[in-house]
Amino acid sequence: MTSGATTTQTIGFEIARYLPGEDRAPTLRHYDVPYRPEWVVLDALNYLKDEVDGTLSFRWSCRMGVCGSCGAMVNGVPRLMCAAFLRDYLPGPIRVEPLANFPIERDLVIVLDDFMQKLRAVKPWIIPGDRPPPADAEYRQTPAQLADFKQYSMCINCLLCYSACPVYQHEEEFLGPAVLALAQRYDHDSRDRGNSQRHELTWSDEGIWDCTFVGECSAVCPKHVDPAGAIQQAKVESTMDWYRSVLWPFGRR
Amino acid sequence: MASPYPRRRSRRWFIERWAYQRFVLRELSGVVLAAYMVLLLLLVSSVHAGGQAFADHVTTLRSPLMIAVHVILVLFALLHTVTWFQAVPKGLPLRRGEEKVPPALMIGANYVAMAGATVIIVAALVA
Amino acid sequence: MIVGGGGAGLRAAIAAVEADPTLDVAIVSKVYPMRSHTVSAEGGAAGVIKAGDSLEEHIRDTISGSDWLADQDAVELFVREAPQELLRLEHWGCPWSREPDGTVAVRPFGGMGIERTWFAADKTGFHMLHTLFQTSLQHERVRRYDEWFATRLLLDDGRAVGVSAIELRSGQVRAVVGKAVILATGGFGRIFPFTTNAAIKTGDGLGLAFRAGVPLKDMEFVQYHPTGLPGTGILITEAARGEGGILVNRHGDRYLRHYNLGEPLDIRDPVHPRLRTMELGPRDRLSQAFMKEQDQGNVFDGPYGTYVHLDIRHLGERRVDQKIPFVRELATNYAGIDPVREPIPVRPVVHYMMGGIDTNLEAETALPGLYAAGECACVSINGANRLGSNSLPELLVFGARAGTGAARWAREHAPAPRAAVETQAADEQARIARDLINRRDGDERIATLRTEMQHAMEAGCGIYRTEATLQAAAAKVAELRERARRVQLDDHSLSFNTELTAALELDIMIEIAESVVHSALHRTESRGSHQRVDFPQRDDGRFLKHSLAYRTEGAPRVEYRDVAITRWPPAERVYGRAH
Repeated sequence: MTSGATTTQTIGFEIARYLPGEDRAPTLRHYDVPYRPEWVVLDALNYLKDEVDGTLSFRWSCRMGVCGSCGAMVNGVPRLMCAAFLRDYLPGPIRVEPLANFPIERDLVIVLDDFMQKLRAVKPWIIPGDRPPPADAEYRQTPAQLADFKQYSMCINCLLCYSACPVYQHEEEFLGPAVLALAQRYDHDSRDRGNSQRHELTWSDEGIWDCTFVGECSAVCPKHVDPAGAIQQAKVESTMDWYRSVLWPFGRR
Repeated sequence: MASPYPRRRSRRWFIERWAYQRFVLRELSGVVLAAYMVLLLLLVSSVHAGGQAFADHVTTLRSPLMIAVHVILVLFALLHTVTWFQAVPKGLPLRRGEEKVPPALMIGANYVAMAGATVIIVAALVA
Repeated sequence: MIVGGGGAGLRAAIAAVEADPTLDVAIVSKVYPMRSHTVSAEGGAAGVIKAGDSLEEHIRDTISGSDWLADQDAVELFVREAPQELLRLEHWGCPWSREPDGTVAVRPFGGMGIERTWFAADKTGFHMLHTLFQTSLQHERVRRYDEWFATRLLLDDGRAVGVSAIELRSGQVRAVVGKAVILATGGFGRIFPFTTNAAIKTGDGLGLAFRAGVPLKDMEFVQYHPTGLPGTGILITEAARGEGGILVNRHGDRYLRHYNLGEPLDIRDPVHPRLRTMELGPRDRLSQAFMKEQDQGNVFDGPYGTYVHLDIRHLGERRVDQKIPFVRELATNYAGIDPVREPIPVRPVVHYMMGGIDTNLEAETALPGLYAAGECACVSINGANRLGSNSLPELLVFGARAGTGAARWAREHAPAPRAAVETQAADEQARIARDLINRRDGDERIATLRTEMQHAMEAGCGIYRTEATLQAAAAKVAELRERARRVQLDDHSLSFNTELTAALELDIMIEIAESVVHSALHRTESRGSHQRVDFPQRDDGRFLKHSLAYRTEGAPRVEYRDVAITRWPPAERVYGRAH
């Protein structure tokens, strides 16, 4: 990257460091980084790792907000580090900590095993059921049908929503915003017939009914997926379905 | 192999961010409104009892304490209403073809309905 | 087992379990699969599906796009299977954008004579990757080793039987065995300083294969995508031009018209953009045009270097938000402009590597039991220049072939003896501990070596090359290879040591960079994206061949193999007029 403005202004960082086996708990360490108005927090961390302290560990990859690797707490708010511009945090210092509500592997690296297991549990794939795909052609899906689930398909699995969710903080079993939004994405895909298979899990106490609509998940989502909306929508659908099954117990949908 | 640092839970999580405080207030508004039911029942029972009991009750209602309580109640009721209306488009994302019905439209419709209901109730009470 | 969990790797895994339901398939990936770089592909995936299109046309476009270096039998196979693969992905839930009647929509793309690029808004790679990943979750026999960094191929009796890999969480090196091994690790744009590529694109699979004696093919062909954001290198998809975006220089001139790419149509003309002309020409020609404009001083100058304007204002807000919303988001966040109101600053940026591990049509390499697919492989269907929207279907077609081929091989072969495999893994553990983790007497920093390598590559091996610039780059890279032996880490721990992986990646990148430079030195002609100022003509007599770089103690040895020509004899590459 060619250099920008040549200013000697610096900005301070307080970065959580933790080495398992050596440290008992994460501690904040102070660093000074040259200030460049076009830099994001990720650039600052890479500068530190390259020039100052190679032991700083963090995940990153695409640096354009689509891979979901670089989530962290920036001044207490879950952000993608590649989307957090230094100029928005002047004069600093900027506090960078690992994403909340997850066990910490090392420095800013969290353990996402819980999420990965829950992701799989909601069967996030097309279940064609009694409507197999046409032999040599696509399913017909109108733009309106696509619009029905498209927003919920935009999740990059960055886990910022889990860090923002107080329910996930306190309830071990809660499936969480991203997983529930993804389940909704498949439930609303016109090609899928697997709704009932997912509902056993998603319409349970560990699913949508653990959610109290705090709404912070949607507030921090960098891709505007609106998982809170997906969950409330599912609650309405679940309730209507219950009424239907009570008022008309014959036949199965 | 050393194990990871366990995830932290905070008992005072709702203080940490303004968004969480807002959430707690919203939830509280439901509780407050439920508590108001008790006051409403007291009013109904005093109306039913009639005469002196009713007059005493009205005097109590006129006290500064009761007025303050009712002001707080109205604020919470407003909070409850506003947040409830905001939630409507979340639970019912209506669409016309590809286009989403603007949430503002749905929220606005609720306010219009509320205004209409208010007018009718006030008119009935005054008449 | 499969190294790499991106589009090609996941497709291979699914193909393998579908081919043989009794097979266990392992995916070893240094990142969680949804982080793979497939995720950032934007524009689309080409497949012949609409009436009025034909396999012939797609084949011809691809071959001429490759400047006749593509193996024509491979291209025929690819074009034939691409639509089925894209359809299969649709059945698996990929949210392709649609026509009003519910059929899949296609858009125009660079170098394609007919509209055939399927797209999912402008996040096609993202949707394809997530569809593949989520579909793979239903197969219980696919077992993933997420955040395991493969360091060496394990060999037994002359065949590939697995890899030694560092489990990042613990820092332990373990042997992950498989009766067949598929490499699907992507390209290596990070050997250059200015690239669209993510941090993880360091050519790991190429390193594994190269060190096991497998040749790397056509390494000199580096694609510069014409429209990257200055400074960050973030990609602005070709789809912006497919929708009608235009490239304009400092003087407001649509400069491509001076470079044999046809006549510009007025932007209000309903035919604009005309396929295979102007802004929809092939990427190598567009990037070269920029360099020529730069030489003439016709480009803008900014804090991050020179640039031109990509103007999409005339498309209107509605069309931008519907067809290319991600472009708007990226330009707003990272260039600070709203492209609906202002033109986007862009310049050529390293984007894709046509070269890679030498494979045949079955995705087999020269090493028995070893397969490769995706950007890390070179079959070759892209030759000297890849057409936009051919890469995503390539992942599917050859990922699937690698999967079924590897499944067949695994069925026919016995597993390797444990002892042999475990010894190799133990040796790797010892080597890494000795040379990297525990070393205290090194004197080189990773970042310094990496930056010097990147600048040497850009200066010596960029869009236009000469004998002199290439020799300088070769000398520099050889020097860096020596200096890299004395790398000193700050991080001596085992737990999630990303400095260690950076050092391992650097080692690989230096070796790969050397093969790029030497392949470029030996090819004394200009073809596609390899342009020699000292040899400006295409020379089919001597160079209608693939270069094959083999690892030696010193500089790589470069040999040649004829290009497979079936029905399209070499002809002139024509854009901008009837061909």
